[in-house]
Amino acid sequence: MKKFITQSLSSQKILNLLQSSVHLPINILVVGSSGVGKKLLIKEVLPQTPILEASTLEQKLLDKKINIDEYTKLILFNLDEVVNKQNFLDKLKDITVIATSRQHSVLIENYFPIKIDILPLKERKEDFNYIKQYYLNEAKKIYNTKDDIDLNIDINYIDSLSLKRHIYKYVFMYSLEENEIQTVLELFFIKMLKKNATYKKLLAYFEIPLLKSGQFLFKSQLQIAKKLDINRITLRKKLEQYKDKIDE
Amino acid sequence: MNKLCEQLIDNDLNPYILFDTDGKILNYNKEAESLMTLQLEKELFNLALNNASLEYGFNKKYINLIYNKHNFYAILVGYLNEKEIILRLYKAVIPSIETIHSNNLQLMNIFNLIDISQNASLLHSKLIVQKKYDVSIPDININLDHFLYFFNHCFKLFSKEETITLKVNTKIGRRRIINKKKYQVVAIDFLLKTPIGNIDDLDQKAKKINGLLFIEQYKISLELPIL
Repeated sequence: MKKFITQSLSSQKILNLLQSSVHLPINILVVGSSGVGKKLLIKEVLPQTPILEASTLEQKLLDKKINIDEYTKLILFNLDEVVNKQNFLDKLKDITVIATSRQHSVLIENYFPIKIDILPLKERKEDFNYIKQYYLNEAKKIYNTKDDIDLNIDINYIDSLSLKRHIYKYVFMYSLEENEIQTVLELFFIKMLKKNATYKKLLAYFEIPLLKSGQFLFKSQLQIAKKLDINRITLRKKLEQYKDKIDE
Repeated sequence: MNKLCEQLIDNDLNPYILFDTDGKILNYNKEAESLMTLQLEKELFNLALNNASLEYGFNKKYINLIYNKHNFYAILVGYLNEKEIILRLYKAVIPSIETIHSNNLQLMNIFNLIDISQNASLLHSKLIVQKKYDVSIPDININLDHFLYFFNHCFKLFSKEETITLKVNTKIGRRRIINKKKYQVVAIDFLLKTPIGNIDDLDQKAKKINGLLFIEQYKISLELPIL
C-alpha cells in the first residue's frame, strides 16, 4: 500500500485537514493505533520532509550526534516511544514537528495545536473493504491464481497489518498445487516425527480438514458419507472422535 | 430631597430597574440603558423575584453575573408594596489588559485557522457549525498556537451539541486601547441552544491571544483586537 486510503468520509476529512494545515508553522500530531495509516498519510502529504524515528532522534540528541538547528521541519514517527518526552519536545521548540503517536498523552498533545485522530479500520468500513480487495488482488497476482476467493474476515479483530498477513497467507494456502501440498505435509511430518508423533496423531492432520470441508460443502452425514465413499458408521465414529477440533 | 434622590439614582454608576408585578419595566436609570439592549427583562425580573426578601424591604446578595461585557458582583432587591419591585446591580470592575502578549505574533487569516481547528477538533463529531463570517476582516497578528488552543477548547466544549452558530464580525464603533494605542475589535461569538457548562481555563486561553471573553447563558464571545 503506497497511498493513504480515502474511501471513507472520515479518511477524506483527515487527508484534507492535513493538506490544509501543513503549510502553517505549527506542530501537528497524528494519533491512531498500529496499522491505521498514520505514516502513509504523512508521507503522502509531505513527501520531501525528512523523517526520523522519535526514539532514534532522542538518542542522537543525547549523544550530540545531530544538530537540530539544521532542520526547520521534521517528521517524527512513534513519539510515544520517547523516554523523556517533555525534555525531548522542549529541544524541538524551534522547529515545526509533524509526529505520529499510537497513544493519547496530555503531555505530548500540549505541544501540538493540531491533533488528528485516525479511527481504527473497524470503524472505516469503506476503507476496510478497499484495502481487503487491494491485498487480495495483490496476493492473487503473486500466487498466480485467478479464482474468485471467498474470504470471510471479521472486521472487529483486524488492523491493516494483520489484514495483509491474513490475506496473503490465505491466498498462498488456497493456491497450493497437489504436489506442493504433499511437500508441505512432508516437511510438517518430518518436523512432527522428530517430536515422536505417531501415525494415529498425524492422521488427524489429514482427517480433520477433510471432515470439515465435507461439512462445509454437504449438509448431512448421509451426503458426506456418500461423496467421500465411506461407511456412514465409520464417518459418525470419526466425527465423534474429532468432535472438539471440528467444532472449534 | 425626593428630586435629589431621583437624580442620584439616575446618575448612579450602577444600573437600577423598576418592575411591576408582571415583570414589565416601569423605569430604569441611565446606566441600565445598555442592559436594556440585551433583552434580559425576563431574566432580570426573575432574578429580582428569586432574591427578594420574604417581607417588604430590601435584600442584598453577593452573586457573580455576566451579561455580555457587563460584570456584576452583587444585587439589591427591594419592594415596599405588591405593585413594584426594584433591582440594583453592582458593577464589578473588569481589569483591562494594558499590555499585550506579543510573543510569536504572526499575520494570519483567522477564518482559515478557525476552520482548521474546527476540522481537527470535530473530526469525528456530528456537530453542525453554522457560520456567519464577515469576510472583510483583515488578517490579524496573533499567536498561532494559542489561537488554535483556544478554539480547540471551544469546539471540544460544544462537540456534543447538535448545532451551534459561529459569528465573526467587526465590532463597529468599538475600540480596544492597548499600550495607549487604539485597535479595532473582532467579535467571535459561539451561540448555543443549550446552556453553557463548565468552561475550565478558557478565559486563560483567551488572555494568551489578547482576547476578552464574555460568557452568557447561551453564548461565548471573544473580542480580539485587530493588531
